[in-house]
Amino acid sequence: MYQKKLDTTFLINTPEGIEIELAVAGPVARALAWATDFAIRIILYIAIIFATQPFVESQTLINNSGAFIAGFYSIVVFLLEWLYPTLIEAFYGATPGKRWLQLRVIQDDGTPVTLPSSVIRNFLRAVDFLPLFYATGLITMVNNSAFKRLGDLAAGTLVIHAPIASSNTIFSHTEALPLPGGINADAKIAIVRFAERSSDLSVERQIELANLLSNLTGQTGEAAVNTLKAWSHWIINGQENAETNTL
Amino acid sequence: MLKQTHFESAHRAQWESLRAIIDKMNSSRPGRRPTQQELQQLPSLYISACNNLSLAKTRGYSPNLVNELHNLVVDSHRYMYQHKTSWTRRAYRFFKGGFPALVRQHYKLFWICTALFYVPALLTGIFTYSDTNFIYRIHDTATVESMEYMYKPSESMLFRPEGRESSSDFYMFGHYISNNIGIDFRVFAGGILFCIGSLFFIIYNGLAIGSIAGHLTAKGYIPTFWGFVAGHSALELTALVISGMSGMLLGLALIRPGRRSRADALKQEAQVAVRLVIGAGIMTLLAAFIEAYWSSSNLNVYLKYLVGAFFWAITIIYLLFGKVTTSHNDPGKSRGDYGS
Repeated sequence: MYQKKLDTTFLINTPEGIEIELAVAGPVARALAWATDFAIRIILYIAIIFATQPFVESQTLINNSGAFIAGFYSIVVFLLEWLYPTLIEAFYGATPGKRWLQLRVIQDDGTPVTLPSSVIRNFLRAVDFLPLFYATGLITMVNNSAFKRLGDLAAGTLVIHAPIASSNTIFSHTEALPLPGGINADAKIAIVRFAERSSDLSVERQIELANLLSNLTGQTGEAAVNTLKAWSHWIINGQENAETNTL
Repeated sequence: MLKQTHFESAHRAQWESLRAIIDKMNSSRPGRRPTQQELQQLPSLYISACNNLSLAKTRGYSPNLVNELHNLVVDSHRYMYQHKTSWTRRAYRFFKGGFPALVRQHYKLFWICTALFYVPALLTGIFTYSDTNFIYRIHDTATVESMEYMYKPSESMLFRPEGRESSSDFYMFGHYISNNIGIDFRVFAGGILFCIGSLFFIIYNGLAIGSIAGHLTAKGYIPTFWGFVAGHSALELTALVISGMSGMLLGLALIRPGRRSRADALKQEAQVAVRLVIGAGIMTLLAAFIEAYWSSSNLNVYLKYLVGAFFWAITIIYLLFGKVTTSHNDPGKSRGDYGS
């Protein structure tokens, strides 16, 4: 089948006997998400410092209100460093940075991440970060097929790209031509996929791709493109398929 | 073979009603939650979507359709098989009995971590008590001076009303939270390095705490030092030992996975370890309250010893006897569910 490919997909078998394919997120996307979250934390720190500035200035430091603010800062640091990613991931499935990059954290059985697993993967950042800039995490990630850092291995979690909604465009081509014989199922899927994707491709690229099949269509250029689209229309909508099912 | 267009027109209504239910479940607004009737439809709609997906794949229908069905199945699967979410009730059960039961279940590890902390503490305590210069082998001069300054009975800064005010109590509270709970979490995380991180933090804290206790006792600062630490010691030190256990569980899963693969062992033990470290974190949070608002008070030192003994008794009784009462039809019992 067409999903046998060299790719970063992670397969989950559901109890219904269905294979779910998930696109695991690599180090670059995850580093960008982390950097975004880091920027958000910095902005929050600055906002809190500005918000508390009047309290710091209005009172003299002698009666120790400065100490109150300093205690407050300690708690804020603790909350933002340890609990910000942990709780947001546990309750919303992704930190704002991950959400921005269309990433999601899930259990490796495909279910939403649980609170204990979120705690494991986020507390273990302390080790994945060692000795500098997530070096341990990166080395671990590139040594397993699902891009798991130590925290993900222990928590049984995955970071995936959120599934992209299919465009579901019904291609406008209305002409339908019967297929010649001897085209197997995989080739048919490739032809349909070409027709479905054609709205995203430039005319030149469409011609370039269609020319690869000129030995089948017997045509080149725009004519080959139209023939492929007509075949694809036949595959999807054609009245009767004369061939026996190759599967 | 059924043509794709017929297939789509036969099933699209079902897919759309399934999609509508999923969208409602995704929505956080309470008014848009799916109705009871819709929830009852979810499993059958999901199963037929699964059937449709495998048919669409094997019949070689268009990739866009397969992708659409695949996304529908992925999104429904999340809700069909999500873990229980009533976390408040489970948190209650966990702290009522699940947590102490877990500690008791790993009693050998508890005693190992207790020894790892208290033996170095006791040894350095004895050394610093009998030799007033020994402390400089462990701490630098500035640390020792600030410790001596803090606990010197004549000019102690720790106690109200002379030095500290309620605002500085809050300062210390914030400090204890970020510092002490942060240590618990690092002890847990460090365990994944084949126990080394946990061992380092437990033994290091034992050495540091024991040496200061011995030194200040030798100096005769007994009412200030022991009076200060008595109240919160039970919760704080026990929590440190338990977070040590949590880290060791991670490390031992890698060192001695038994009949499991290391990856499986780590995954299984981490689910136990995380519950221990969450419990330890909450204990340390309580200890921070006591340390900031009770330990620093200027009350009679014998009352403080008494309260300290009371907290030790409470901690020991909790860990020894706390348990989850499960009814017979509670599936949690047979699954080894610890309430969280």
